[in-house]
Amino acid sequence: MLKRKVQPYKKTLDGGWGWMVIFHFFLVNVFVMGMTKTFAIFFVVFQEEFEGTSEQTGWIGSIMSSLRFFAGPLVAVICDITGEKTASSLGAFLVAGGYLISSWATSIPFLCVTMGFLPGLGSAFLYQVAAVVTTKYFKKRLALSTAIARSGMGLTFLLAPFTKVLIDLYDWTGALVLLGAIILHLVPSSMLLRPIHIKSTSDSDIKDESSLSPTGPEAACGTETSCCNEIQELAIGDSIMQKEQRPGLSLTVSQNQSKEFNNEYNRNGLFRKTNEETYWKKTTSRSCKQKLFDFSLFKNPFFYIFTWSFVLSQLAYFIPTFHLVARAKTLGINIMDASYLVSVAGIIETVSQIISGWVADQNWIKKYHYHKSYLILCGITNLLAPLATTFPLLMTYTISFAVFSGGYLALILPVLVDLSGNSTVQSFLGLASFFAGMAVLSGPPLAGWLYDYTQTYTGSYYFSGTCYLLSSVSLFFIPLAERWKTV
Amino acid sequence: MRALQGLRGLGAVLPLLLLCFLAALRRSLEHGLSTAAPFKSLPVQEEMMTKYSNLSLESHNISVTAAPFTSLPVQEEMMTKSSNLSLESHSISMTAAPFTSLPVQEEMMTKSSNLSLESHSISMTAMPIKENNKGNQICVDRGIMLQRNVTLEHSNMPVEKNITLERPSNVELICQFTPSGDLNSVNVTWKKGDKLLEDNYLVNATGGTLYTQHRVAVINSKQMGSYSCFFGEKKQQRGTFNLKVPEINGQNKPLITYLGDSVVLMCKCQDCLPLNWTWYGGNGSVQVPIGVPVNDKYVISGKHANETRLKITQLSEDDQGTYLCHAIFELGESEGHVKLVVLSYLVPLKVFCAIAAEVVLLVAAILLFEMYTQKKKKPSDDGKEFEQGEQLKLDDSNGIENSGPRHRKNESVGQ
Repeated sequence: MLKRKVQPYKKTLDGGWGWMVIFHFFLVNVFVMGMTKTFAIFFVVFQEEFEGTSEQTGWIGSIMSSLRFFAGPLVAVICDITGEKTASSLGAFLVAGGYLISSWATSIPFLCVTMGFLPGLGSAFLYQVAAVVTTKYFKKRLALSTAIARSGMGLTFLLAPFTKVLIDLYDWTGALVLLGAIILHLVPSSMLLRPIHIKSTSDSDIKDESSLSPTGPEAACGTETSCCNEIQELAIGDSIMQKEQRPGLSLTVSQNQSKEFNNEYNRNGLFRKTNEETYWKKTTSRSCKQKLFDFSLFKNPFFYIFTWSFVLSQLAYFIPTFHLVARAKTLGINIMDASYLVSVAGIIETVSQIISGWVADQNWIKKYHYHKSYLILCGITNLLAPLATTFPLLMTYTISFAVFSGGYLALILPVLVDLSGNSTVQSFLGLASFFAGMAVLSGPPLAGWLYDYTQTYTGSYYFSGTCYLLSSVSLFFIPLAERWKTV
Repeated sequence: MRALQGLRGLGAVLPLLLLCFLAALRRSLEHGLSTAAPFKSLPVQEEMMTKYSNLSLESHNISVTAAPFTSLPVQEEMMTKSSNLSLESHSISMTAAPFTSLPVQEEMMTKSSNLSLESHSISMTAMPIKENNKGNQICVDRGIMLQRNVTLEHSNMPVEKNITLERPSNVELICQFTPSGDLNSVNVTWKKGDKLLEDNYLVNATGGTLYTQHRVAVINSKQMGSYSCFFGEKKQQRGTFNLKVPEINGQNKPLITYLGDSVVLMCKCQDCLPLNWTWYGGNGSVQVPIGVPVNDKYVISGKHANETRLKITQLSEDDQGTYLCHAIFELGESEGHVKLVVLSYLVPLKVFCAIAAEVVLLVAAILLFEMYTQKKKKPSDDGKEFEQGEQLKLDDSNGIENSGPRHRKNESVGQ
């Protein structure tokens, strides 16, 4: 390639400004997960205040957590239109606004919209955008950096007592207002998401064995939109010609190499000019509107593999965490010890995520092998869970489950990046999240139904174990899919 | 440390003492008195047992493994149990031994085994050493004729029992005492508060224990109060029964509300059904009944008989303070507290504005930083771009010759 002195991002940064992005992702994890956890406190308050049944009040929480996944494709679309910074800030405003309006709530359906729908949508924006930008900034250290960002979930234990204090001081209306204000801090942190354009991801991908799909000319431009590169470049070329007034530059679209060359040039020229950036985005949006929703994903076998695994693992993850305390109670363990179990699980999961991320980044074997083995181990642990009838045994189960689940959680995003290949991470993640949303929505009621039906918690553990084992099955088909794709 | 050394020394002597103890135990069983007799002749051993109660398990094990116990199933059980924990030995052995002849009381004793360690251990030491004043055993027993179980407590300190009464009933109060010396020398008296009671009580002496029973017909609040049975002149040897009306639970945490809102104050009673509820608003020491002039602002209601709700609408600053809910029973009154705090909307709003201002500051700071870094890069950028443009022009002008190698290079990298 032509050597340029201004070649800022020939390959992914894997550091530098990327750590600010990780900081933002960390904050997003803290607040988004914290929202779900503090909701349990508000649940009691709302039930008392509005005298609703626990089922009705529970819907608010379900809507909030499931919408975080369901809104995935929408986030992908809006991100393409407006860019990442704006989408993330929009998400933060949605969450904060939802909380603020909820303080004037008069009934449970009102709350379902303002405290379920709006924050859910906002958290989808925040989470997905942060995840995608992380994948852009990190390649070699993606697993480790994601794990560090996800460790924010461990800090959420601070939010619960803090919320209780707020409720004691200002009653739930004041507490909601103040929580909304605190979440507003995600707006300045979203501004840290500087857009980054990797010149040619194909260059680094060739030698990078973590990439699984063959790279084509589309991958070369490394844009957020996987579509209409030609139209893009034409538009850009025209605009550049108009702005920069370089008549000597002629576009020969027919030749691949000059397309690439122009692309490069345009990238470099455009990179630091934010005004031209937005202009460029406008032009792309105008021309690419019809192709924003990437239906090519449905033809991608990797998409099916990943979604199957993702959906089943999400379904299986909720149940043990949901029922741990309740099961401890039925076994006669007192509530103090049970909450100790929960906190131990949280800490070990966080540590295990970081270790698993670091190990995966060493690239000794492909990442999806680790993912597969963690899922299988989780499944086996859960199938053996009903054997844990005393506190030490239950502690052993909790620790081993935390270790293995931390392992696979850290690898979801890296495996997704490896499998996404041609399509953009944004649309891939969006669509996969949509299907995962169904698992998240049906998870807790299913677990409750299982308990009511079998009158023990062992049924839910067997179910969770089988789900984990099933989710790992699809990952065995990756070599097959690779061969099918290259054929 | 010294205790441990003493323990080791005693450990050698222990088997011998145990044999004596067992022999004495057998004899006593034949008489029908289990605990009183065996320990009589072995004061030292009893002392040791007290010490052991605070120390390791092993000491207990030694005492238990003695073979002769196998013939005494009840005591064996008791001793085996005592081999496991220092706590349990006291509770169980105390319960089983003295009252094996009185099945009802044995049951009662088992129930009381859930109480504190101190009472048990003290009574155990008390039993064998009849000379020791400290060891006097008092069992306080309470019974209500209409319902409820009889429980016993053992202690060498004044024992107190709280009894909750809701409706008029006949109450039977029983005190039990095992004096160290002569039974007949002990003077039994009953007092209500400070007033000495002359009649209505019985005294019975069986074996080594004194039983006294006092019946009270509780009709109205005059019969409520505290009743005590006294054994002898010492203040220590007494048991007290406190007859009370049920307690009302208000709300422990203050209720936070805002101006113009409405709030519901609730008072609840666990298992009782008061005749009537009244609310009082207290500003300082003045208690003003609420709801007496019936108006829209205060609405008293209650879904069930055991709770009452006071709904206050259109709150203002004056409505702040503590509210009292009175529950009226046939046998008296009981009250609960609810504290109300009224805030203005400005209070959280101020905090919100402060946080929002901080967020705006952060956003402004980041924007400024971005603009600054862009300005820094912009002049250098233009130069470099121009350079690129020049290069491109040059490359372009070279035409096909350069496009060849370029083409090849692109291809090789592109694959």
